Order: sequence, then C-alpha cells, then structure tokens
Amino acid sequence: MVNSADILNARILIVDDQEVNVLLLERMLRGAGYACIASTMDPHEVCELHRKNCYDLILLDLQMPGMDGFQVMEGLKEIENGGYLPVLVITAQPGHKLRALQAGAKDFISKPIDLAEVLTRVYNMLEVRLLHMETKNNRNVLKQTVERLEEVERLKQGFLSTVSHELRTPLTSIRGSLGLLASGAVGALSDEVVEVVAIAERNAVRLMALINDILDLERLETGKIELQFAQVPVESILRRAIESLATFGQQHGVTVEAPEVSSMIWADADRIVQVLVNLLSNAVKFSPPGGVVTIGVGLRESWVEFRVTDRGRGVPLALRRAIFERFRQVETSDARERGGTGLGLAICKSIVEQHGGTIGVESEEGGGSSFWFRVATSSRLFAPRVEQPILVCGDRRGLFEEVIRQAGYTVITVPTDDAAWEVLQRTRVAAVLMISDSELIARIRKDPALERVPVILFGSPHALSPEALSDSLVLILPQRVDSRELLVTIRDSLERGRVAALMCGAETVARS
Amino acid sequence: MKVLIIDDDADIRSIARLSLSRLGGMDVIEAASGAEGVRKAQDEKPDVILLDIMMPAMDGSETLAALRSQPATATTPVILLTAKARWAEVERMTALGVAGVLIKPFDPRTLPGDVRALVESQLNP
Repeated sequence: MVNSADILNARILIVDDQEVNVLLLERMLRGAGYACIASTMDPHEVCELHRKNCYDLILLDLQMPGMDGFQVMEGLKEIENGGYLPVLVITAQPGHKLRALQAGAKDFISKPIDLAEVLTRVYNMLEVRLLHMETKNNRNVLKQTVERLEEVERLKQGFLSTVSHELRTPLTSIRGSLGLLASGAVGALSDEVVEVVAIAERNAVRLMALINDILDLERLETGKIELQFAQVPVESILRRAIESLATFGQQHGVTVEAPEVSSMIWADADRIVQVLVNLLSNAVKFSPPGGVVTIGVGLRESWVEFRVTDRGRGVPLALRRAIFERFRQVETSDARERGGTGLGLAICKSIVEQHGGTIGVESEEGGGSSFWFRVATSSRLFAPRVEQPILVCGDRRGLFEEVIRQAGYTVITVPTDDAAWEVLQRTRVAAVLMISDSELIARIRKDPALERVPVILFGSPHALSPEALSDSLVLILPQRVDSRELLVTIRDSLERGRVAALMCGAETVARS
Repeated sequence: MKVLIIDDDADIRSIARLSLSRLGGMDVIEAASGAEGVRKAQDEKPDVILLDIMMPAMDGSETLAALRSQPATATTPVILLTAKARWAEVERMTALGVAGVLIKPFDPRTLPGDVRALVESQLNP
C-alpha cells in the first residue's frame, strides 16, 4: 500500500516557461511537505529529464513557446511505453482540458491556480501513480520468480538424469566384480565370504534397479521417451512378457497362465510389455509358493483390457490409489523383503496414461489382487478426422507434441506468440493449444477469420487473464494434466466447436 | 576360443576378461577403442569379438563397419554389448549381421556360456 510519506517523497517535475509560476508552484508544494521537487523552463529538456529521473508526477504547462505541452506529452508517452502517463496539465484555456486528457494527461489544474485544488489533485495523482508502479514491480517480481522456478525445474531434471547416468557406470563395475567374486573365478571362498558377497551383490542389483526406475520415470514424465506406436498383436505382448518372467516365476514356484488372443492394440510394444512384466512380477512376488498368476484379456471394440490376478495377500482399500504413486508399497518393509523399488507401479501408470489408457486395481484383503489396464485398439480412438493441424504454442510444447501426434493429429509447434500468429495468418488450424495464458487469445478473438477456432489453455481459472476467462471458446486444462485428459479435451473442442465448459481438475464450471 | 573385447571402460574389460578366461577358459585380448580394436582384430584374428556400442570417437556401429570392410574380419562373429536397449533396436542391430546382442550389465557367471552359445548358433544356424 501507498503511505503519505511515500507520496511526500515522490519525485515531482514542474514545467513552465514563466519563472514566477514555477516559483509559486514549488513554494506551494514545499509548504505542503513535498521534498523532491525539480523544475525546468525549457520544454525541450523535459523528456530527457524524465528518462533520467523517472518522475512520479510532471506538472505541465500547456502553452509554452517553441514546443507546447501537447508535443511534450507525445515524447513522454514514448518513454512510458503505453504505461501510466504521470502528467498533470496546467491550463488557462477551458478548451484545452478535454484535449489534454484525450492526449493522455491524467488530470488538469486551471489557472489562476487555487492552492487547495493543486494540493488535492497532486496528492491523488501521486497516489495512483505509486500504486501503478507498485503493481508493475510486483508483476515483474512475479514474472522473475516464475522464470526462476522454471529454470530450477529444468536444472533439477537435468541433474537427476545426469546423476543417474553417472551412478550407473561405477555400479555396473561393482556388480560385475561381485559377480566374479561370487563365481569363485578369482579364488575359492569360504561359506561366510560367499554369504557376505551375496548380500553386497543383491544390494548392488537393487540399487541398479532403483536408478533405472528413477531414470525411466523421469524420462517418461518429462516426455524425453518417445513412444513408438504401432499396431501390435496382443499375443506377442503376452508371449514376450511371460518369457521374460519365466525364470523369476520358477524361482518363486509360481506359474503364469495366459489365454490365447488374436487381437491387436495401438501401442509402444516395449513399453506395454514393461507394464505387463511389472504387474506380473509383483503378482509372482506376492503369490504363495505353488500359486498361479492369471493373465486375463478383455476385448472391446475400442480397447483391450489386460488383467493380472494373483492369490496373494491383497491391497488394503485405503492404499488402492496410493500404490500407483512413487515409493508407496503396502508395507514399508516390502521393498527390502520382496525386492522392487517402489517405483514400478508409478512407471506403469505413466506408461499407460501416455497411451491414453487407464490403470487400476481390484482387490480383497487376504484374497488376492487384480491389476488391470486398458489401451486403445487403434490410433483413431482419440482423434476425430480433421484435416487441419493442431497448433501448439509455448515452452513445454515438446511434451504434448508427441502425445497429440500419436493420437493421429498433425501438429505444428511454435515457441512464441509471434511465431504462432505468423502460422495462423497463413495456415488454417483445427485448434490452438496454449501452454500459458497470453495476449495471443485476444489477438485470435479479434480476427474474424479465427473467431471460431477452439483455444485450449493450461492454467487455473483463478490465475488467468480476463480475456481468457471471458471467452466462451476457451477450454482450460489444469497445469498438470495426463495425456488422456488432454486428448479428450482436444477431441471435445473439435467436435463441439463452440466449447461451453471450463475444465479445471474435477470441477467443471458450466458456462453459457 | 580367442575373444577380442572392445570397450572404452577398463573395469568392464577386466571383468569380462576374468570371466571369459577363468570361467570360460578362453584367450582374451583387449582393446580400449574402436580403432585399436580394428587393428588388433587384423593381427590376432579372434574367433569372436565383443563390441561395446557406446564409445567416444569411433562408436560400435562405425567399428562394426570397419571390421566388415576388412577381409580378415569380414565374417568374424561379433557380439554387441549395450546398456538397456529397445527391442526394435536389438532387432535392427541383429539385422546388421551380428551374432547377438548382450545387455549390460552382464553377469560374469553366465557370460562365457552366452558368448559360446551365440557363436555356435552363428556357425550352425
């Protein structure tokens, strides 16, 4: 907030070609307690002075020889660059008052000068100016903070992946050396040494798995892993998953049963195999010896459901959502006793969601669990037929590009509003996806040719500009969004054209 | 059986050498770069070459091309060593005419058996 001390310390410039007026005004202001007062009788130097000193208020005489007050204001406007123009004009001509206000002055004082009027108008104008400057500063601070946070996020992610890579190399050698020791190739070992080496090796293996999972999850979540989609036979997914689990199953005395299926899915085969292997290895781990793990496959027209069922101890109701988060196992001792990193299900969830699918669990405590996930049978599930591309604009565009492209759309990505505007001028697009709120929305809406193009925007309604909120063609997504939600939103916006809902997380605000 | 290991990581070479010689009874020659590997392959004429894919300067596929271009090593079985590869990549690399692909980190206890099996499958397809 602005207090009166700030106002009295504000920088004021008096501009008048008559020395007597300058002296009079200066005496009035000093008498009222204003401390920083400068003056000039040469209108030509006003702009230079303002550029240097950035006054909070300029008392400007309109009629001066050589250069009048209106010309001075033009120069000041350039300096303020569209911002608040701190000009209070002083004029004897009633006709100049309106003209001066239209030219950008914020208020006027009539000659002959009345002390109370001058002081009141000066005080009020300074109050507004200081509030304006405060808002501007806050906005800049906010912008810098956001930029710094984004930078930190980038550094953090880069750091994570570098660290993980750097950890892998020495760990590979440690693991190999322990394996050699354990093999007896470099000398016979006593039973106790064998036991100790086995502990070291088991933990090296676990550490390696943990690093791999952290790296995997980080790359999945930052979009650094490009999913390679194709039509894949379900049968080959099942076969590959079961093959890679065979030894592990034997070790635990657990058999895996799967049906014969001749259906296809639209997926990155490696990644879906990874999901299935993960679910199967959990099921094996938690099965009693001699138990059976069953893979079920449910076929629908547009999707296929995989279901891995075990007869283990089950997942308590309270944890059925949490276990898909990082490092959440049913019991904290599970990681140590049963192996596993606590990241497997988080990775599964991320992969399935990048496929536009869903994942979940049904379980009876003590009566086993049934983990399932669904993926699409074809790429056309999410994409309605559109000829025109989707324009994606903003910083994290790479993250969304692949997801949207995989769903069957063409995508154009641009880094900035200006680049987006250039594309919009020469290309017809089906929809615009904006990573952050900006004046691009207003530009699009003002152009009759683009008026009906759906705009999809990330952010909370509370943090968006009035232009974004007031526009019924804008669809808003929460900042953190999964790919399924994104694709559903795009499809909705294309199918409905005029969008009539604001989306923000679970809450949907109906709009007319 | 004479094996040439081409890998820029000295520790990995040592582990592979000990595993293949002590457990597999093989003769092992080491090379720390693709160029050195190509040279040693000409001189030593190994029965099989273990080739790391990720190496600075001359990587695995360049080294493989150089080995194939020399008459003495044109048909020598090559086994690629790679960290976590995608299925499609493994298939593509296998299609380059290599005996097989082993994923790092390898288990020194099973390495000699794996190498022998891959070489034999190439010799008697």
